[in-house]
Amino acid sequence: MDETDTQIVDRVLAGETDAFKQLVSRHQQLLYDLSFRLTGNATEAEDIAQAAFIKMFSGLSSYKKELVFKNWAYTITLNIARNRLRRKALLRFLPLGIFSPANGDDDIPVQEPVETGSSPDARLDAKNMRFSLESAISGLPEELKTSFVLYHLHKNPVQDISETLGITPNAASIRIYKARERLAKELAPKYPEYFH
Amino acid sequence: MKTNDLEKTFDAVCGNIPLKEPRDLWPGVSLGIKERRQHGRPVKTLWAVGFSAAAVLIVLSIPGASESIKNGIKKLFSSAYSVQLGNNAAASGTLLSADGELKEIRSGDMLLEVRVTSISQDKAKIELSVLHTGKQADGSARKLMSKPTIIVMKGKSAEVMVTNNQGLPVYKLKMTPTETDPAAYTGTLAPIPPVSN
Repeated sequence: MDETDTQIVDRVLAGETDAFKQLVSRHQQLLYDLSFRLTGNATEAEDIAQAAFIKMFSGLSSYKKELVFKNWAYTITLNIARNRLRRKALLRFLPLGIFSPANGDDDIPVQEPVETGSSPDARLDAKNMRFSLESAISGLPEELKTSFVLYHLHKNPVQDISETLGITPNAASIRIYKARERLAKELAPKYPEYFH
Repeated sequence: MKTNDLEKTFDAVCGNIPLKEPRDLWPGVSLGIKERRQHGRPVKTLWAVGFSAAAVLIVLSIPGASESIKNGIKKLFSSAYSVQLGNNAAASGTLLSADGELKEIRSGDMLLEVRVTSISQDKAKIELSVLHTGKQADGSARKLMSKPTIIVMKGKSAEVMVTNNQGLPVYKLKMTPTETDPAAYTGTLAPIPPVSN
């Protein structure tokens, strides 16, 4: 059976510093992905995720085990990302086209999923749809975007999202709902087959 | 489109969106941790360990508001105490303080600041600050370890938990004041054995 995050935290606190590497390995993709979707910049996202892990390590002794480690990690990452966005005023001026195929995903290669059993046209359509959706997500207000990403992309339950964001489950559900409404409204004219 | 349908639609279309893959962040994280250590950040952690490890036993005995001074303007508290840190010899004495006056008790590097305040005929407030003195890594001369405050109901036992900076309970302060008893306002602050996980 895999070691739980809490068990790893205990080992780190007992002096096994290198055990923290396992926590980094487990959570780096989610934290990086969230940071990237908030900033739209691979280098910035990497920096935020790294800073979050360093902060986690420094504050590991204050980690309360009744919290899910992943949620705690999300919260720290979000705080760092928000502070940086606020400082750089990136939040309001994020270009909507940062996820467009022309710009690519910065210098990080992303393996494209292959939809087997569909025609080339259908695959192209799905790919375009994906880019349009990512672009639309990037244009959401930060509050809605974070909730949407945590729910639909990272597949977290509403309860965990509410814990991460420090809001009620109802408030988290409302944010996700509003995000879906906005995205559907934006995407429906171009993709009526999805959002009829 | 109904909410449930919309949720299902987004579940489906988002399923095609791969999460962004970072390069291995550990080398950068590891480096950052080392840099922090070099800059003295783990002082707090060392403190937590050091303070928890030190078997600090503080016995505070406050015989109570002995009497009112002229016209009842001020009350005097006569507090017998003993402080023991680790294997050091216990320091003991009697602390006389006016109502609300801050008094200090020293034992080795540890400094206890005690303020006893009468709240009413039935209650007294005891404020305790546990400080470590000496040159601190951050350049300061003292560091506050914990600062419990307790409102004591005369004749009833009361207690307050003292935690270290990891949020773990380290000491429990118990007080049972009894106004009619000559040895009233007795209290102990005793270490709690660490909980093994």
